Amino acid sequence: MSGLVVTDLHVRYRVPGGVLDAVGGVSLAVRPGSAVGLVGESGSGKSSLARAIVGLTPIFSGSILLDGQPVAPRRGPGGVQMVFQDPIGSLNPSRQVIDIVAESLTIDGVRRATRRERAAEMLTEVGLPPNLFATRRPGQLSGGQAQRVAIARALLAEPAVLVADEPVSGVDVSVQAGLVNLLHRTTSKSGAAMLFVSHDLAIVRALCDDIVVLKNGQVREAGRTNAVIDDPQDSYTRELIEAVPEI
Amino acid sequence: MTHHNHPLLSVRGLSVGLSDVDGRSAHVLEDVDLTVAASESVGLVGESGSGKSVLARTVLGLHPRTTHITAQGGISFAGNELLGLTPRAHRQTLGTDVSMIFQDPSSSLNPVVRVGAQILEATHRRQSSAHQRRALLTGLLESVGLTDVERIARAYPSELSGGQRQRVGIAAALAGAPRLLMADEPTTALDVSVQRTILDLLDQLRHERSLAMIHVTHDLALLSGRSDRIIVLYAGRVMEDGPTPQVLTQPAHPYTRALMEMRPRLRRPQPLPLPQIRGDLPRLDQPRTGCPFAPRCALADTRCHSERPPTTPVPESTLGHVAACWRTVEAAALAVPLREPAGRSHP
Amino acid sequence: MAAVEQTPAATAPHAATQTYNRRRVGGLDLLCLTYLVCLATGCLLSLVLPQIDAYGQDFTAVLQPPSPEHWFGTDSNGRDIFDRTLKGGLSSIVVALLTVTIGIVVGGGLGVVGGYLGGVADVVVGTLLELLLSLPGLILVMVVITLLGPGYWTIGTLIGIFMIAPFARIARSATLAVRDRSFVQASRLLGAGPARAIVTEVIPSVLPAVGAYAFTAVTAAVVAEGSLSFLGFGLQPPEPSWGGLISEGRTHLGTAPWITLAPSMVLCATILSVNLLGQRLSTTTRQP
Repeated sequence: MSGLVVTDLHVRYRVPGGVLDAVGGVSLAVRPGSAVGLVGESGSGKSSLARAIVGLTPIFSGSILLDGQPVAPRRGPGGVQMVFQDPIGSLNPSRQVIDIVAESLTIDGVRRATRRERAAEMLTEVGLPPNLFATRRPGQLSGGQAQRVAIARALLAEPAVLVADEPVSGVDVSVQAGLVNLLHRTTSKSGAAMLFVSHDLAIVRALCDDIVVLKNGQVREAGRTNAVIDDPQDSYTRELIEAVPEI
Repeated sequence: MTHHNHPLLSVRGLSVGLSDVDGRSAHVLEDVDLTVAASESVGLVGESGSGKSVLARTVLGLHPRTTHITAQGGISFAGNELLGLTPRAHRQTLGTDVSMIFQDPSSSLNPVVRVGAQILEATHRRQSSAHQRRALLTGLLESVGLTDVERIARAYPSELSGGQRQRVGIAAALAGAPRLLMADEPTTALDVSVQRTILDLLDQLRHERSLAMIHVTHDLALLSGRSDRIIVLYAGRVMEDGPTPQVLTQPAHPYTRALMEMRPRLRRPQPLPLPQIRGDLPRLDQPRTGCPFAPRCALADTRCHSERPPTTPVPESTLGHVAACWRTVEAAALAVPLREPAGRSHP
Repeated sequence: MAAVEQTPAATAPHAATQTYNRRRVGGLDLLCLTYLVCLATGCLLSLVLPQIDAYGQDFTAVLQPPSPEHWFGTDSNGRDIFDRTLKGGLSSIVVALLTVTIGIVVGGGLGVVGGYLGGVADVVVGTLLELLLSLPGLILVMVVITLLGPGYWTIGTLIGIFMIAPFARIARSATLAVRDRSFVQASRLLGAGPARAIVTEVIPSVLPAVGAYAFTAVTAAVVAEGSLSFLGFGLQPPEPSWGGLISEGRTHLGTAPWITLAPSMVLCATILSVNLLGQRLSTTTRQP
């Protein structure tokens, strides 16, 4: 089966006085080129699930397959990449933007001139003119600019699946719209699938084909985004939708 | 405003400059007017860098010691002039009449003191006997919708959920029987379902106790159906000020419109890409001419860049709906008579 | 309506996003820096300039108080204290640099590797540090120096061994603080192995903390070297060192206090300057 397939995944943490099933048997699939929204409130296990998928959190049981193969540490294009919630913190403060973006090429041993050129193209792609931004350091970027750098870095590694963990939740509305548009445009162009982790149902509706609603580490409802939001079958999903304030 | 004859809080032409120890300075507020009548609820909307938090802190006289502030204009609360007082005198004048609810209750509560003791801190001089104090505490905790008050009063902040902590924060803010509540992004750190219960609680308390409230937020949608008036700040200036229904249904300033259009809607989805405004916030450390939004505004002409637009009543809207935009000035010149106020959002 | 040229996405960073504090250099910082530069220059010149003579005895001018001829006075053999202080400073500088280098390279390296890898590596490093900390310092130093004989290299290395543990602890805790930061995780996702992650991501983040401690370590090394010399385990006469000079002057404290006072003041001023500069640097480069 192609795409990302998660089957009966359990993630456990040891906590004082026992274990916590942060993810308690979740199955989901991300078809190639599609965007899936993973929504839930704090403690729903959505971040643990995302981190387990990219391999940053060990799994207790279950399987995560990408095109039928276990997700392994990256070797070349076609893997999984992640965009983190805290944009500034996800960039090494002591390095220049161009080197941060080019990191995957550096690791692959691409020649310096080539990787600089490709990193500069990618910076242009995410709306940061290289002549203004290439030599900046993360401390000289706004939150939105830093997230653009992080997106450029992830996309230059040519992932098959981009996992975005609350990538737009800490930024202003005007910045948020730009980042949502950017994620949509770049993943559509590169053909990467996206797992978009968010607590913001409105953004998930705008951006994602499918939606998975998590609560306490379990899937409460999953399906086409429009169908689930217009006609939720699960009481918790309904509760979430009703709580969203709107003008 | 016809409903509120005596402003409780009145900020007139307030300009605030901040400079830090490195000598960097910024004009964070310029010529801001803000009035809050008794038991009125005002939403103060802006993105980061708009000056909304500085405005709240200036009113409260809470500024970090490391920043040097220069303020011009006037701030009066219940007839007492506050600007120019020492921080100590400023807070003494306010007393417990104004209190604050913070964005992150876990950082505004002391982690090593039981929450009951923290709530009573604001009142300990008035309540003499232990019995009275316990009764007051129980009453406060019950009024913010907490059950099992005995346990919660003895708990440390880390033993409570985010929603419970924010309720405790609200109880602490109510302890001094304030007349004005300043809520700085009170629900931003909370889950969406908890957010609604906290907003409902604030509304209910406000009506029960005839509290005035300033709700500082970046999210216009939160104010819909909840606040009486909305003031939109951008780069330290008031862009638009008016009754909530009018601001939300017929926003006059292009920035207000952009704020509303950029947010995707859950119930009325629109195709991507989302409308967005280009560019960044203007730098506050450089002098500005004209309208601060002009560089990002699709409707801007040369006058917008060179001349500051005056605050003008919005034509075809209700009294008290004003905007600082040359397009509004032009529309007003066509002289459409103002309608009578269309009533308030709350009965 | 005329659409006016729009600023390109972000021409300049927002003022509030500046993370590094650029504080102006104060007068005190300049004073400390000037003093240290002059001291280092003087010490180095003592190697090459024949006018700076730390050994020449002049029995016509013994126990002279400070004068235009002899700025710090002379000792009981008629040797110029100023010249001897400069020459002694050289050994302090060599010992201090050697010590701190050992501390940073060995201690810092152990701490970063143990902290980043965790697990067995961390346990091994931790045990090693416990061992180092349990060594009876002064006794060991005295025994080794008695066996090997005193010299710059022996003393520097010995003091350096005792710097490994504190440097390793600081590097380890700084590493633990960044190991789970998302920029380090991002580099792992991009395919960076532990070596690359340590060199490009962890070490630059750990350096400020280690660097700040290096200043403290320099002063500790200068004091340790002085103490050893004072006790007679440092460089042997006639080779001058600050501790040795202070010790030599003890017998003449009543009649010729300058023999002890002059090198003591230089020692104090040096330690003060290094500490003040170190403190200033660590507050200036602190990340938000």
